[in-house]
Amino acid sequence: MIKRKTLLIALFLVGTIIPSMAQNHILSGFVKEKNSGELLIGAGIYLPQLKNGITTNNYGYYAISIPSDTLDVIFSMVGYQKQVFRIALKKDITLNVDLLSGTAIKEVVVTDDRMEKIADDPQMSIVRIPIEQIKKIPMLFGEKDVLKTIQLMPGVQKGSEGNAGLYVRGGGPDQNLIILDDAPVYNAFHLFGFFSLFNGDALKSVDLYKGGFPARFGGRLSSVLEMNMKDGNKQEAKAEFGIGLLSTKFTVEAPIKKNKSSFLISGRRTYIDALTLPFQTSDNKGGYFFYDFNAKLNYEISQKDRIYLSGYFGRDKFYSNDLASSNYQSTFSLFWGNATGTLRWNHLYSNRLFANTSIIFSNYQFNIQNKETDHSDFFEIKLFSGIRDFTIKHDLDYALHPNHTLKMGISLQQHRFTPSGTTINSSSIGDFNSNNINSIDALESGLYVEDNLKIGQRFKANAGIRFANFLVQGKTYTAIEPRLSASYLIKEDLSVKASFASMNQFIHLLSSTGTGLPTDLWVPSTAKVKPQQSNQIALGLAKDFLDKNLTFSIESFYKKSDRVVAYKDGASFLNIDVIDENDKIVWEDNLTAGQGWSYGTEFLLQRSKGPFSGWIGYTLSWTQLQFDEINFGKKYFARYDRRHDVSVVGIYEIDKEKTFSFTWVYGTGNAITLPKGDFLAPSHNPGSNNNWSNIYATEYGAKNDFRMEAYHRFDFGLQFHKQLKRGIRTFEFSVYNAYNRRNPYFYYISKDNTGSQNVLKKISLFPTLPSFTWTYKF
Amino acid sequence: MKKYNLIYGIFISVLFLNSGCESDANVTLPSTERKLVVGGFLSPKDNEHQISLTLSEPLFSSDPFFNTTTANVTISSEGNEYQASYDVDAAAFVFNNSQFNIASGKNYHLKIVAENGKTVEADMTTVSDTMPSIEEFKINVDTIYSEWASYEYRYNLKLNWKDIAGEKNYYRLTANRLVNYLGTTDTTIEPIYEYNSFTLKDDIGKDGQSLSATFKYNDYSLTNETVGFEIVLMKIDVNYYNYYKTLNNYAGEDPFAEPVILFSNIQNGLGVFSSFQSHKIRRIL
Repeated sequence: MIKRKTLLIALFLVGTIIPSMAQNHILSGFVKEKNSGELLIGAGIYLPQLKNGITTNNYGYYAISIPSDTLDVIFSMVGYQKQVFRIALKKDITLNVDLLSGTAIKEVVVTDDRMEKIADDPQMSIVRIPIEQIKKIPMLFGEKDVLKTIQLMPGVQKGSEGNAGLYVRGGGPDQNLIILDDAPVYNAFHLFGFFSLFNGDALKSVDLYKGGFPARFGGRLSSVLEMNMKDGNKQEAKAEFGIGLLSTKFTVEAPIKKNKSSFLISGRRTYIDALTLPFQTSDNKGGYFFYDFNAKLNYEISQKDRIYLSGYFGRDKFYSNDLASSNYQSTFSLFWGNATGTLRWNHLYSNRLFANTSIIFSNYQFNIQNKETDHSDFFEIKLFSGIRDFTIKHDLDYALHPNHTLKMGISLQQHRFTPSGTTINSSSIGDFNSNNINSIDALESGLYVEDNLKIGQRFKANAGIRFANFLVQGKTYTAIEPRLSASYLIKEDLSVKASFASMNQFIHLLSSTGTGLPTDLWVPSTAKVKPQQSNQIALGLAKDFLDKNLTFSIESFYKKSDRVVAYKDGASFLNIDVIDENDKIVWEDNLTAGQGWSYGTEFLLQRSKGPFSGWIGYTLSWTQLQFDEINFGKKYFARYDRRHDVSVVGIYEIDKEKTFSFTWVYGTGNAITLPKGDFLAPSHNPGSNNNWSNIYATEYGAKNDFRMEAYHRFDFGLQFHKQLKRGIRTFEFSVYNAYNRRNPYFYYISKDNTGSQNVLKKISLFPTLPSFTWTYKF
Repeated sequence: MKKYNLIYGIFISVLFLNSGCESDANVTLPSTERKLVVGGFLSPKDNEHQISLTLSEPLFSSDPFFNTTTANVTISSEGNEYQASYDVDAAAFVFNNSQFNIASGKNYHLKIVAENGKTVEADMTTVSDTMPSIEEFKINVDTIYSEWASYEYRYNLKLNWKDIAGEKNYYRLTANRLVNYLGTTDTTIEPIYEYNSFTLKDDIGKDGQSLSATFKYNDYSLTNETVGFEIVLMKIDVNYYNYYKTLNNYAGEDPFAEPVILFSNIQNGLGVFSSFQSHKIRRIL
């Protein structure tokens, strides 16, 4: 039976490919932004006569195999003026195109509607937010945040107030693959999750896949957040400088050799510590700050070869120094951060075959250092945990045929997990030195092939398969992951879409808080802790309202996850030690594996063009979990199960000098386990004088059977742009939580005013908070 | 552990610096009633049996307090029943085998009716008489020089026993230290609380096979001498096992720990009605 199917598929491929290959030629090239030379990701190339098209890859390159003919080719992208070419294709043609950006032409950009039709795109469950839009949406303290903007899309939820963590279709924050220029980022947060570490000024594109994952991605169950940094302006030097309530930031980009090579440097630092400095004594200092730094360098060696070197470095630091006494001094610091580096080499083997080779480094480390000096004695302890990766990957894009564009690749990733490391130096314990580092090495590899295929005029699909392998401590896990995302065009502006994705996750995050604490530990699958696995199907409709510049989509999804991990009841990062007194790993014993179900429907009405843009999103969903060792094996709702989730985002360009924007969000309250009473739990003491005694205990109902108050909030912002002699100045005034909704961050039990009755109190984090930012771009 | 407490402290400080917004929660609170809490650990080997009865304290309601000592506590099995009376000294309802016999491998039903009519019930089957055979009780001693005392003894205790084949078995083990205090000749028995005060085991996937449990004790006392150890191996019923499994996980006041919902087989109430048989294995050093 299988052989017959294989034969039929082979005959089909041969039948569709071979007959027309002989008359086909390749149209290929790079699409760039006209004024900066920035290569454009996801720009559309459309052939109206053939009703066929593709988009540029992550390096701005496109290649399409088309029959010999005289054809129109339309190049377009949201926010750019379209370009139309008529070509007589009698041989392979290289056509590099420069698109003029909307900001450069200072008028409402009209693009070719055909290319922006979501009905025409076989990919579903994808969120694409233009960076320019992110910069206009009001945010907490005026700090523009990529992850918080993504939280405003249906199917994506935030954890708690102000938190940048992503919960995608019921998955946890550890189930998101966050990649910056191909490098995985393991802790994407500053300040305990209140800010994400991605600086929008340095980013070129942000895509979030919620399902229907292309086969080139793997290693996480719930989402892929792919971010690409800007290359840097190749035409002229540009800079941007901004000051906000919490931080100041800058971006500089300039050509090194015009049209050949450029660089970009972008940085941000908070100054809470500097502002509190006058209130501290010289002997006793403490504070907090974070900074991040992005840099990228690119060089076009030839038409066929380009290299890119990019990196990110960020740190959060708490510190406290007590230097008051000359006899006793103490210094303490707690710092954590990511560092990533990516070296990429693009090579065109031919017009048909584009290759990228990447060497990637990623490191996340969390450190605590404490040094105490008492007279001549000293005691110094350094504790750290982290994860470090080295990756090499090779990806190919191959324009096989008008109906088949292939992507294939291989990756090899070496992980080093250090759940715990300690170094102690002490003079008081007889010059005691200890260096105890417990690392686990693992090798993760992936091999994939994808086909962007088209059958007839109406059916398009991205079909792929990924082979994943994980080797740790002599144990090997292997997985085969089929992927499919397809669309069928019912009418020119209406399509039905479906997708299936099988995913495996070989690494796990030990986190009991979901607050983005730096203490969350990344650990590998081991012989005892198996990889997590999920299957997701989605079905949807996509409709374009071309005359109104509106798109509307409905997607229903069902995701079943297996072997998802959670802390056992009673375990938390406060009471587990990663190793025991015999240096044996015990974190494994504090975990339990179970199942998860997530299903729901997402609605999105979006307008990306015109003076009034934005979206209305609504998600109706359920997320349930089941662990044999939690809640007596019964199913329960996940903490972030959210029945209703609404977001309304509006951006109104009042005129060239003023932009008004607002957001309103609503979400069902989190499901939590609330204490209902206290009691003395009987305890059996065999052999003692008292056969039994009591332990003070808390009575709960079922797990997560209590709902917190619903969350809702309204924010707005007003930007004033002014063209100055040498650049544009933007002043922004925004208000977070405009109607001062007291959303609960957590609850606790207290006594009422009489002291006799218990009451439930809530702590709300952010009341109405106005903020101001000032930026200057030149 | 200190590092995590420190981080927790900083985290909470940051939250409160950012907040200052405290108010009453605007939610419908769960209305809970005062519940009867039952403690019953019965062994067919014991002559006297106790059933404790206390009341829970609801957090968000003022369900009136009532007296538990006047409750009707009735235990029944195979058509026989007995109403236990309250014993002030034991602070529990007490009966002995001549009044109502607790035999191994039998089903027992407990019904408690409080003076206000509140009723709780529970069922359990006592564990069988057969006890597992002990294979080995090993004690290793390491002597370590430490900064706190001139020397320190580290005892590693390991008990191996053979599971009883053909039945689902659950075990609880505790360890005691036999101590001679300086200036006395009497040996006292003290439970070991270091690392783990008790161990739970089941024979899932290991029916009839050898099982083991370990205990550790670090002795650096200068005022007493360890003269031996004993391990109490208890065969327990599934209710006892489930109850202790959750009690073992109970994390107290850790704000980040997942809440532990204590197991109970008491219908409309809390606590446990269970059975056990115990066996002590002693080794003098």
